[in-house]
Amino acid sequence: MGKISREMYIFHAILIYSANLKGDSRRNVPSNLNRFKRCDIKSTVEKTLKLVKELKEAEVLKDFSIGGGIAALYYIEPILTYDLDIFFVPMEDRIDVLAPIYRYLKEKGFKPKKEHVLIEGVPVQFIPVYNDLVKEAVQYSVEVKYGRIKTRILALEYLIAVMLQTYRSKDRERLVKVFEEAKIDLKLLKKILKKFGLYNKYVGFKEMYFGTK
Amino acid sequence: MLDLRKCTLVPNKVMENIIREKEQRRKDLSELSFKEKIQILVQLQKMARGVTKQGKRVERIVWLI
Repeated sequence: MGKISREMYIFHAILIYSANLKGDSRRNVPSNLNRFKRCDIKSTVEKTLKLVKELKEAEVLKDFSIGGGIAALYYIEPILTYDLDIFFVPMEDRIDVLAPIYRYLKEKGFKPKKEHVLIEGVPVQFIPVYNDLVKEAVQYSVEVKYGRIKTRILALEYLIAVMLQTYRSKDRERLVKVFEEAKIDLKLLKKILKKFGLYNKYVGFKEMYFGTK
Repeated sequence: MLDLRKCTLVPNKVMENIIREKEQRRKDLSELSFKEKIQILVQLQKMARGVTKQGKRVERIVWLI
């Protein structure tokens, strides 16, 4: 059989996939197409998350966790953000910590542009852990599911601590929403904030924005 | 000349209800699945596309989902 066009490939992959769903015998599928395995049609965001997970499996990075606006979005109402921030622990301490990641992604066809890499249509920003709080936050991140893909996201209490630490205007906006909408383990939060010297800042923030301590 | 005595002010109770319902709506939205939230995010990104900053359009990538 000659070369098959991309469109025909996709058509037959869908045919086989739906046949498998119905439980039909594969005998009904032309034998020369049996080489196409069941097509798991993933969304582009699933593909992005899968590739980020692959970086850990391929030991390009030691550990990772979703932070920033997308992590906040996980816990509160949807908010506008554009990048998928990935905090990561590098395999080794080196000046060019991003180089191994960019090299791996480049081989997959994804090149960096300014501060991010566009992976399957999603701008991903890789941020190496830059202090003990962020390092611990990545270590204690939680596993969540997006569709069929499992990924890791900063635990809410650590996310709050990181936002308190960076304290940009958008962090303060997100913090207000988090305290209004999310379910926080206050005991754990207090423990983390005290450990990293952020408790007074938290008290000040609560007083300023909520009139409470 | 506008006579303020003839203006109807919105009673506090009405505003309280509106605020309470808005807060409840935000809480309901916060309980959506991760996937549903990302879908809403992409809608927000599309809506924000038309917004300019000081007359200049800022190039932002809308996620493909």
